[in-house]
Amino acid sequence: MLELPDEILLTIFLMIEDDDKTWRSLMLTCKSLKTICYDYRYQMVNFPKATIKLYQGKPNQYYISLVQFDTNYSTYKIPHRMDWPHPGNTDVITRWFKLRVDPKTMLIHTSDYRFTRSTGRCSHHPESETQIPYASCFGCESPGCDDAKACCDLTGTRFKFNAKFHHDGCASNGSWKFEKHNKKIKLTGGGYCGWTTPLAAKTEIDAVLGGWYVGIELD
Amino acid sequence: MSETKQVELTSKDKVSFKVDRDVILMSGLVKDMLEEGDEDETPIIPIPNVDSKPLQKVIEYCQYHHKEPAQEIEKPLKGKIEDVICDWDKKFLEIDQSLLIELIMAANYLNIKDLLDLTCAKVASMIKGKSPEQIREMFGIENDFTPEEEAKIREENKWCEEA
Repeated sequence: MLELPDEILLTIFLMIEDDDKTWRSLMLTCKSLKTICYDYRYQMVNFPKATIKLYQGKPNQYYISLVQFDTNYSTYKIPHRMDWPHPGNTDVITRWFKLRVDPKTMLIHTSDYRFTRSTGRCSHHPESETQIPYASCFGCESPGCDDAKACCDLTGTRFKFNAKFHHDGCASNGSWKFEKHNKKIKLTGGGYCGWTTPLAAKTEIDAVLGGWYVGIELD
Repeated sequence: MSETKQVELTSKDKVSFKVDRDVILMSGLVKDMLEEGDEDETPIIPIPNVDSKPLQKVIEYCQYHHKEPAQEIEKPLKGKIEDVICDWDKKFLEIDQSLLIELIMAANYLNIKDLLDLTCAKVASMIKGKSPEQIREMFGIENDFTPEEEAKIREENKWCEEA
């Protein structure tokens, strides 16, 4: 295979470009394949005041590689109350490893799940039972109870957050605390049921489905 | 009744193949060369970068898909290649790996996009889901990373391993 010119190898790799595990294998095969993969995946992208290296998921589709894996998660906290109508549900936790960003608008897409891992299932919102949008947390324990948590952390990247949040739903409660000069946000949310999400998620379905909702800026 | 015009292709190892002109026009390279030549003759076109074995396969492909146009392969591949190509192409691709690589080179050189897509998709399908060790073994590639270099790549792509 190595006798093929680089441009043909890239043509082959692009046929499975959405298979990130195989791309990882290709990067680990040998130096020449790693170079081809890296040259495609890591692109210098122009932002208003800087040029920053980002991960290219598809042509012109860019991701910020997160450094802090333990502090980038979103959740739906399953209530402990007896009348919860979905037996077998467990807390949904989505962990984030890369965030899709639009360099022109400086917005993050909160439901691009390509670089995430999720566990659990919650049947409350059938539109998305196993994944929770970024910078969002949901709970349904009781009125005013904000027992669900989320965390967003751009530490180690060239960015910080420029985002507003709200809590919404039935008897909702929630909080959002910015730390480390806006590089980190700790969120709580819940209610009966209630959620904390970016302000741009205006409705319940927006909150569940996510979108281009979280603003960032250069650090 | 007019005779079908033919073209003579000569491979790198000096084997000649007579092919219908209409068939081999699927090659962008040959098409360009013919447009520059004399229409009345049976032109002899040297293909100095392609051996007779892959050239024969190229001609076989063109003869079939000249009549039965190839379906475009959706990219990125969805599932296995066998699920998206016709039975004839499946049989056509039952070749050893070295010939497959030669065929990719030939399709690229002769500028036959559909054949290039098909053969590249075959290799992509072979690679898909394989570990680095399996890819190395499949293509006889030597691991030239130091343990430190390998560890760095693994760290950068750690998210892939997270359950």
